[in-house]
Amino acid sequence: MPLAKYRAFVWIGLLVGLSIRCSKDITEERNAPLAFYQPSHFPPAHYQFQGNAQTEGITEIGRRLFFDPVLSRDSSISCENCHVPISGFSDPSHPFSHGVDQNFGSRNSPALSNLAWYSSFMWDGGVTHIETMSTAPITNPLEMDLALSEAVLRLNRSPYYSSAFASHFGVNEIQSQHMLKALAQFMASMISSQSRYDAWMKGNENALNAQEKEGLILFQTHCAQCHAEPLTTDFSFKNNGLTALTEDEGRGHITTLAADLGKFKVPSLRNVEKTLPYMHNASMASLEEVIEHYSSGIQAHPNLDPSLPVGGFQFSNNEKQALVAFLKSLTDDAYLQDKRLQNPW
Amino acid sequence: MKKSFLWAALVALTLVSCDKDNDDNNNNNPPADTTGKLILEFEHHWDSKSATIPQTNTFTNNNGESIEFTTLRYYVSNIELTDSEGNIWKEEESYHLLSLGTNPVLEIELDKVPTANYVGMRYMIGVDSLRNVSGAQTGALDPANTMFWTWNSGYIFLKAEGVETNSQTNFAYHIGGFRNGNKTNALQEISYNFAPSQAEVKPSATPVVHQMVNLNHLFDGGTITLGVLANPNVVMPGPMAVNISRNYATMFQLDHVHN
Ligand code: HEC
Ligand code: HEC
Repeated sequence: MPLAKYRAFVWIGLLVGLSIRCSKDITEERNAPLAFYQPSHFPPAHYQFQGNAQTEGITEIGRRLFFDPVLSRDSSISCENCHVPISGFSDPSHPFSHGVDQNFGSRNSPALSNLAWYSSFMWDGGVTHIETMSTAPITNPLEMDLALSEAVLRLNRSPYYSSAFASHFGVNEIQSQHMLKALAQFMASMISSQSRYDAWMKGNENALNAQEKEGLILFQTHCAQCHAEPLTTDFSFKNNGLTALTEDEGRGHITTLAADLGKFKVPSLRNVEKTLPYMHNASMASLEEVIEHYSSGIQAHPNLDPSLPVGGFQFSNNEKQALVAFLKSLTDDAYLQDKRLQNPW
Repeated sequence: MKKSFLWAALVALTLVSCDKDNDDNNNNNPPADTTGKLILEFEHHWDSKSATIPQTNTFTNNNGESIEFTTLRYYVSNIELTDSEGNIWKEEESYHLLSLGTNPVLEIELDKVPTANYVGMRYMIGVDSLRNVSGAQTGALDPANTMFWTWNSGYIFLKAEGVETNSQTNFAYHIGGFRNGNKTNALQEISYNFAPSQAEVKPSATPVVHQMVNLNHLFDGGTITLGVLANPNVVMPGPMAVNISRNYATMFQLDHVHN
């Protein structure tokens, strides 16, 4: 495409993007068109839509793609198969994610929300950009197993996609870049910021009960150095003592550094009540088990984070219950039930 | 909403037309009569034998292994030319994916190069770290070209695949990596001094920089002696990939410049 023409679309995109953003900054309305917004109590987002100005139309294409099995080799599964909205966009039914031909991946399918704040993706942080994120599940033989060139061919043959991409990107031929940018716009609009914990953050003292507040204080004391507020992760890579030996290299696989073996990205705990099973290896089935791990099960892995005591924090029963209660206050029903984040087909 | 979109489109169109008028005066795009072209030629060979895919000659590496390539692709990026006054011209969006086929000679044509006598050049084999982490790309960098690692974001700088025919062992060398300084950084710079020649770029003449690319150096390029049987697959960043990248950096030799 000639540069001048390209610029035209960038401009249109920018202007439309601006007009959407102006109206969205102030409101988290769930019946407005789906779009990124910056919650007032969140830090600035990492993804700023650079070169991918958000529009309502492109975000909708992204949503369609997310829920479309056309992106898997045998057209059997979509992103939704492993990222179920009502389960906080994680996979409740398979400890290990489940791809085409009933193949099993080796890691638990993580919950998805607030992805615009992520500086890296995957348990090992191997993916560095929200726009290239989708290439991994689409091409992974254990997941959707479709070559990007074939994905693009299918979209170009589809009457819906060819006309949607033509009107919203202004292109006659869809390229992988357009598909990836549309998916990024959708994913960056998946924002969970309306749990009771958020209401409390924004000054509503009554949003949390006494037990949840006690849990919050314990959380701030023992957990928040990794699960940093308000996103409940600082996106660093840590070992939290699940096993004494390295069973999965984790971050070390990416950096090839011994000091990173067995470290995983600190997961967000938003909607954690709904995102079981837990941990990269899906080794825990309930929040009670997770708290028991931090209370009495922390193993002496060589790269165990120094803030975690081997053997655990030895919480009292009351403390355990308070922590679980607090974690449940991170459930954001408005997010889990947001129709705009559900299957449009 | 619909209306504002139309308005946006209108405003944008006006902006574009302004843009177009300006283009001719833009410094990055000097008028055609002050620019010319320059062609880079990459002639692939294995020692004295010409190299193509499919292969018509047999190649034996220094381990006595018989090598038959089925794929050889690599990125040439960030091309810069230095003229006799010391000015440096950088190609914009300088990413080229070369893929060896039935013609041993592959070409990159540089366009809109300012008229000057060029005395040297440099480029990278691979993709700079910035572009490795910059989101969805297009053209040579389109991840659909399968030169992109999806699970460990980053471009494959050079992909060589084939078979060791004595033992029927397949090999796959997917070399890349830009993290962690020297430990996994496989980006290699190639630079040439054309002296005593010069590449005289002008509107009426297109000089050619002819390079020889000796594929034997992939296996034995001074850093390691790579054997297919010992190392059939190197497909992720790491020290081995870095060693192989140092090997293949020596494949590229300036042969001559002709005007
Ligand atoms: C077969 C199951 C499966 C399918 C289908 C699938 N994913 Fe995933 N997804 C996973 C697993 C497993 C991981 C974690 C992989 C890892 O860390 O190694 C993951 C990770 C992610 C992450 C990173 C989350 C984080 O915390 O860093 C995002 C974002 C994501 N997937 C989006 C998508 C999109 C978009 C699609 C569709 C194009 C998709 N997924 C399809 C299983 C799946
Ligand atoms: C040293 C950093 C660190 C501290 C402190 C920490 N965590 Fe974690 N947490 C992690 C990491 C890393 C993981 C992922 C581990 C894995 O899968 O290998 C994790 C996983 C979890 C999970 C599972 C989430 C999921 O979706 O699978 C929960 C729940 C959790 N932590 C709660 C807590 C609580 C509650 C505390 C305080 C008692 C705490 N964490 C303290 C680093 C930490």
